[in-house]
Amino acid sequence: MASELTRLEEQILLTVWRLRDEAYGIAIYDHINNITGKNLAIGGIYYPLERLVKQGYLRAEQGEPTPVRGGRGKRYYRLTELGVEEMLKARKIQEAFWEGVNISRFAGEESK
Amino acid sequence: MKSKRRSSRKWGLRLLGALISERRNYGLFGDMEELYERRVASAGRFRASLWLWGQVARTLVHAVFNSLYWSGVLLKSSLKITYRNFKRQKLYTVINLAGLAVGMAAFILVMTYVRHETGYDSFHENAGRIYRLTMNGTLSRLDFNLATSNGAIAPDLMKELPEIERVVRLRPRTRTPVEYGDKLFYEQGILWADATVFDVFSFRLLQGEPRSALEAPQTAVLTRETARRYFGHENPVGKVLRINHALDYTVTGIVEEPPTDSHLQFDMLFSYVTFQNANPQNFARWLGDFDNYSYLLLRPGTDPKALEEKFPPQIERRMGPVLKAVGGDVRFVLQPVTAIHLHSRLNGEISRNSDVRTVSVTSLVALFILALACVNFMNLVAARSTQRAREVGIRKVHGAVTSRLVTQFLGESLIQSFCALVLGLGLAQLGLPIFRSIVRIDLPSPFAEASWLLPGAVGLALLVGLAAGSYPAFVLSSFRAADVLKGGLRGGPSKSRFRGALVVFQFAVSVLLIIMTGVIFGQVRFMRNMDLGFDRERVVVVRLGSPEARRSAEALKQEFRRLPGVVSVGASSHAPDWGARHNVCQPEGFELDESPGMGIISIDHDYLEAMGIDVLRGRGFAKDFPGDAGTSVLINETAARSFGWDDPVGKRIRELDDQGITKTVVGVVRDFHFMDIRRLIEPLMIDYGPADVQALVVRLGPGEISGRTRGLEQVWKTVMGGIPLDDYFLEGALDAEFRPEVNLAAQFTTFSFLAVFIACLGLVGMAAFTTEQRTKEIGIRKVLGASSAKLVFILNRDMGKFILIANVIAWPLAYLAAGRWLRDFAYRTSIPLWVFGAAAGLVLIVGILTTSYHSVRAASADPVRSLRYE
Repeated sequence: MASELTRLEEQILLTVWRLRDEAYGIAIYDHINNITGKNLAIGGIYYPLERLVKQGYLRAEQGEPTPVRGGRGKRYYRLTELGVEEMLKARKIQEAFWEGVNISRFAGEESK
Repeated sequence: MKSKRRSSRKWGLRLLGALISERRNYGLFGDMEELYERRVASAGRFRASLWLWGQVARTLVHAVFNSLYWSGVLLKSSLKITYRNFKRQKLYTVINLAGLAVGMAAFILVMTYVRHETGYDSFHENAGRIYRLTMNGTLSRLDFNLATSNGAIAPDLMKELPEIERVVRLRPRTRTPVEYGDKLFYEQGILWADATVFDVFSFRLLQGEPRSALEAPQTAVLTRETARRYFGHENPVGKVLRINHALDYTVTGIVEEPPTDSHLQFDMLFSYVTFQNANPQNFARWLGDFDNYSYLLLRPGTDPKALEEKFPPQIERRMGPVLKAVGGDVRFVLQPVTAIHLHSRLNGEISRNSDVRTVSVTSLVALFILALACVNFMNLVAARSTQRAREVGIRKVHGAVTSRLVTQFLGESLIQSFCALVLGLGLAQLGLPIFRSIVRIDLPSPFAEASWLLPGAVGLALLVGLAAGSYPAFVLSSFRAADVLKGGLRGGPSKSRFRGALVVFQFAVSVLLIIMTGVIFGQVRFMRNMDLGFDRERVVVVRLGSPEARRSAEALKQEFRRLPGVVSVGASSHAPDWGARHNVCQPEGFELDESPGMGIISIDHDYLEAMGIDVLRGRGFAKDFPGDAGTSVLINETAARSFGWDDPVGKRIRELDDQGITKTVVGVVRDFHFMDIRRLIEPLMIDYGPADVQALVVRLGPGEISGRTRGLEQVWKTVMGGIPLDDYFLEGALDAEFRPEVNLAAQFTTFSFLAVFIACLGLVGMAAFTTEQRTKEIGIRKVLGASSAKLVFILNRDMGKFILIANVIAWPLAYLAAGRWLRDFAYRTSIPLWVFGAAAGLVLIVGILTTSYHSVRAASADPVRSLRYE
């Protein structure tokens, strides 16, 4: 099971952490779309979310039904310890790669 | 307005809901609905609806990938486990795969054959509405059951009965010389056919007008191949063929070759009206000429049984007085065209039909072969169940639930069976030419029709996988962890009895098949060596196909006889392999209405001598008795016996034909076979008719053959000029008569071989397993002084016991089956008992040989090595 997190999965986990008690589908969807500037399909977030649940990184809870959702409850997601661990691992790898790298936007032209 | 928009939104979600579960993905559906409402508020309903549809479409793509992802993960893990299991037990895996693949290949090929046989004539668009009119009943005490009918019947019925939409009459033509330019062929496959033939049947006309192609007299439609033989690449339509060296027929169309699964096969069709115009007397009444096949196309919704009820009044009207005069009755029966090939066994079938029994026996045997392969699988798993049982125990302790284990075991066996399927399909393709030559049918490849092969093959693999995997799946996975791990389950007596039963089953089937093969070969040999009542060796039959040749018969005889190496030459209306014509004859002392039917042939005075047919009483025909023509006849022993004549010479007999001349019996010949050799010899009357001869029989003396047949050819050329010689060896033609039995023997040989092969594969696995289990026992025995030979004996003892039991079970079954099969032959071999012993010996030897590798190796192993670990 210990396959590495994809970038999207990493972004989702971070978003869930940031949103805390408000982490449900649309909130996560909006947040990721806002930051990345992409326009993902809802399914494009939903299926990775569910996969993370199955892998044990996230836990899902059912909220109160609301009329605006056609009588369905919100599905809230929370990080598990395993999920946090995985995030930290991903961060360590990220930082290890960025360690000592110092490039600015025009680094390519500078070296000319 | 509002409701319409709502429904559009609903449709989007409903579509999604139809494809993925809304209940399980309520989060997704909720999110979508909430976002949609938000869009409605910010951008209006129309834009929101568009947006929603886009979201649904894109989400579906994700849903598909998601499900692929998970099935991929599962398959990967179970494949990995299975692969490891296979690798650990290479021998068992190879045995299972090989056995299953061979079994499946055989099964697939046999199913192709079964499909071909059962699908006969279903390619006709009107297949469900086409019926053949057949006749049965009694005429002058002569029972008949004919596939044929008189040519006037069908059209007359159509006039009276509106249920009949169309009628086609077909009539085979005898061998006919057909010429175009300098090309001449003797055509066997000519049918006279009504113009409606292309309306009723679905033979594909490639050129020409379907409605009118065979409307005019002296028109012909040729199959593509036949047309190529005459015209090469020229356009055949409009060309003129010369028939019988005398009549010109115009080619009006080209038809595709009839499919192999058509009971009607032909090379040429001639317009039926030509025949009808030339022979009006055949159509004057419903009697006399019965050599036509009548097919009726019924109107949709017609019940053939109800239609049959309407025939008797018609028969009464048209035939009543005649029937009353000669005594007898006639019935018409409608046969569905699709049932002819498998279910019709009437006299005068247009082609050799198969038999539903043959088809079901063949499929049964194929099913057995497949079962044998499944048994191998079950047996090996059962044998190794002690090891697998421990695995089950440990898995259970670790929390695996029974259902998960069932899935694992079933999955393993399914994976094996699908691997075997791939191999089996390959084998089927490789074995197809062999199989074709065994069944003697130019079967289509099973791959030609993917529409049945694909689901069929997948179904087969599923079935085999589930059947073979059910034992480990449900028995093994139900073991209780504690029992297994305590070691209480060590291949108890019930388990080994189960394995024994499986081995016994395999060998019983093998022995049964081997014995049947032996019996079939025995019968073939019996028929080959049977005394036919004439001397079949070194006889050349020369056909006198044309009127010119028949006129020159006497000259040809004289010239042939002068050739060196020719012993004698006779002439006859029917060569020994042609049968005879049949008619009702009134012998002296019999009333008209009790007159029997007889076979009748006409011969010249040299025929009996040339064929080596003995005259038992009286005399044969001779030149010195010029009065024989028209006044004297010979009869065979059977005739004399059935008339109750102790001294037949001088008795009188009358053939009930138009002339009805009374003739005198001058001699009795020894019985000889002139009809199907599987049936009893019938009463036969032989009259003297050098004018009616159709064939010369030339008996050659001992010595070299080919020079003499060349001599015959030269003589023919000098006498007959351009007409080619048409001859064949009698013995070869008689051998061809046994072809169905020879085919059956070949099929059973193959099946026996496969059964023994698969059973032996199983034995190898069993031997490997038991010797492995008994390593320690063997070591101890050896230390205590047992010789290697003794050990091999001990190791093979069980197997020998199983094979003996298998024989005891198979023998009575084989005896019954062989007796049943032989019952269809009037002249049959006694069931050769040595075949039973031979079959037993054969499987025993093959069994010992296959297991000996393992047993000898185990018996000669150094006991120190096997006992070291204790």
